[in-house]
Amino acid sequence: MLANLSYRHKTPLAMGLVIVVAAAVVAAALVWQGYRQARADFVTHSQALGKTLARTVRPALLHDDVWQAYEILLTPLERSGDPGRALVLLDARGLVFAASEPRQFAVLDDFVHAAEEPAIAAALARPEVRAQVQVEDGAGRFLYILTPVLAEDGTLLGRLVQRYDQALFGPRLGEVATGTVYAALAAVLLLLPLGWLAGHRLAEPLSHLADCLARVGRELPEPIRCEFPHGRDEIGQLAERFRNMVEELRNKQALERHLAQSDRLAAVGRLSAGIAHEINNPLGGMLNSISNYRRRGGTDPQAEKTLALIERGLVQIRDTVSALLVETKLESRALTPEDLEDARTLIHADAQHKGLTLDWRNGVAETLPLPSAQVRQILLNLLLNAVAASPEGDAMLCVIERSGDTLRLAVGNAGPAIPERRRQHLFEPYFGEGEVHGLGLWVTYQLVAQLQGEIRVDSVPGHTRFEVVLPLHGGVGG
Amino acid sequence: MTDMTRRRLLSALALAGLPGLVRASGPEPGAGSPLLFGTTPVILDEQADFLARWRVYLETQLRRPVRFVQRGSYREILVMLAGGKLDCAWLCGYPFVRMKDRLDLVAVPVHGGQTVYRSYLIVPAGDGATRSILDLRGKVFAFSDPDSNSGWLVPQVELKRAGQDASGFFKKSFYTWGHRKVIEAVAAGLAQGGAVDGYIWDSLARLHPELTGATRVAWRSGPYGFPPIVARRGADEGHPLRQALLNMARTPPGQALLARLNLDGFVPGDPSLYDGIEANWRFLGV
Repeated sequence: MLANLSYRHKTPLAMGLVIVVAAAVVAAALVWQGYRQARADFVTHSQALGKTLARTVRPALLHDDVWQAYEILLTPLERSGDPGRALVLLDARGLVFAASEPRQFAVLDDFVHAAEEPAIAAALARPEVRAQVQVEDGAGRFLYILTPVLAEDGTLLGRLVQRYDQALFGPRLGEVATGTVYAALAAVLLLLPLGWLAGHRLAEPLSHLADCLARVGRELPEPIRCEFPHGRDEIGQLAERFRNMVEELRNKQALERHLAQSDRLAAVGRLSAGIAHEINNPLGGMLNSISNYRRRGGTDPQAEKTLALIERGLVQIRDTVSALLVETKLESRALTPEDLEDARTLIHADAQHKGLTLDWRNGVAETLPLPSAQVRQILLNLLLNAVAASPEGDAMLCVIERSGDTLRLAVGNAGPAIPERRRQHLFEPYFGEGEVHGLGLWVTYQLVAQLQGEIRVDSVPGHTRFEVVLPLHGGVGG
Repeated sequence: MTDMTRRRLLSALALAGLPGLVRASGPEPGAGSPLLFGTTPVILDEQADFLARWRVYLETQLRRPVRFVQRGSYREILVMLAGGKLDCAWLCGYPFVRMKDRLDLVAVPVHGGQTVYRSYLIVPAGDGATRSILDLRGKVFAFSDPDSNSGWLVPQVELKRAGQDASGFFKKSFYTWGHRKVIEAVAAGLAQGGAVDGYIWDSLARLHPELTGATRVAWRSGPYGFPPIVARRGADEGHPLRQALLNMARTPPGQALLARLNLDGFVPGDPSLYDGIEANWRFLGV
């Protein structure tokens, strides 16, 4: 049952429980302490009262004035007949001189006899004791404070006995307890919401993590976006691991997608190359036959017209197939900075026609061990695509730089983003409506692949950027 | 007794024609000087509000300031009166008869249509057996004041009539210096018996029945002259004060004050009213 409860509730509940228990324990300790303090205060106060009264009743005792002594004894009592308190003035013989409770302690009665308390008898039996004495009776019911009444010369004139019922402390305990309980309640009422909040805040990242973990597997890693407070505590570590895990899943998924695409492209490449070879052989024969036939002459105009038609069709087939078939050119001259500048010159007219400005940053000033024809074509293709995608009058960027053992070509334009559907098959042969063919990127990809390089694309609205990285020690350029 | 001797000597001097000597420290004579009026526990003189109202009434009647003087015992008032430090006082009949030759009777209160009152022997309400003071042998007894007729002289005379020696009769006796306090002492059980002014007990029974209810009147004495208002003999204040007191019953403010005192009014009275007290005094021979 408890194990099934969420920490979202369990932690605040535990906090609340701890607060309530702590408040109860503190309140109990305070009540006990307060009671003891109140009792100690009471005794101190009573002792001071006893000393004052003992001095005040001295003249009455000396002058044998029972009434005056009685009135003095009554003064500190809030109401007559208070059963909890009794003040008794004894003469030097231990007989009652006057008492606040005359019915209980009648004048000239033997106090020890009236009190029926051996502890008091023992205390009174020592007249040499001149100090104030505090005595508790055997049953623990009464507290006695005995104060000697002394003459100026120190002679014992009598004793003042204050008797307090211990039950008097009951209401005091009640008062202390009530006050403390109210204070504790107020503290609990104040602390409970705080504790609940703190518990909730403590448990919240854990619950959040659990929620996020639960989404892994149900959803693709891409949309899983979970925010956690930073820190090195356990939750922070868990969150860090979780982020790493999602990141790895994400990379794995991207890699899988990339591999699938590469495989597909490779398969398409092999297929198209095979088909191209199969077509090229008979095609070459057919074109040769037409050429031979013409060379012999004597063809009538009608036949010549038909041959021309067939030849144009065959040439178109050959052009298309050769575009599909990205062949390694035999020419493998090393790439010079002039080759790169040529691409700029070639694109210049098209760019000017659309009113584009080209930000050209060529950082290559030496000959590089790369086949010049392929690199020129890659760069030209990317530039032509950028010119086509750029809105009129906008700017283009081309960065060429050597970075370690690689050559990096980056071409950016400010055109609209490439639609997601198109991006899935960006580097595949494309025969869409409105274009003659979409083989530019296919060819580029094939060239890059032959040079063991990489091609990447970032495309957001207003900014599309193709980046090609070619290793300088690839197998082809050598 | 030495106090008494000195006081008598002082009084004698004053009356022998040397008033200036004695009055040197007293109030100046004249319309502006206050009338000094001593009160004793023969009335419920702890009621400051009543005394303030009564003072206003008397000042209106007398057209001069009046100042009430209260002391802890009858004796202090008697000493002041004898010493000329008071012009008049409300006293008990017992000191009046003792100082009769030096005091003028100004007025006698009327209570219940009579100018007499009684001494009550009171016991705690729980004591149903006591019928006379002789039943209280070996008990603790409360007297109000050694100069009180009802609170001291009457029980002393009762004991002597019965042939008892008052000094050894009780286990212990004490003075409370006031009739009300005798009632309180008996009600609380501090004393098992007490002698008290019957008029005070009756008045308190109306004002504070819970106090008197804790006591029981075990015995009532015969009638004695009500505590009178007296003036120093020969003093000019006696006559106008008497008129003012006699007028009280005739004016609404005076009647209201008399109601507070539980009295019907004042009459001129006659010193012979106190012969009974004087006889007791002589009998006791103190």
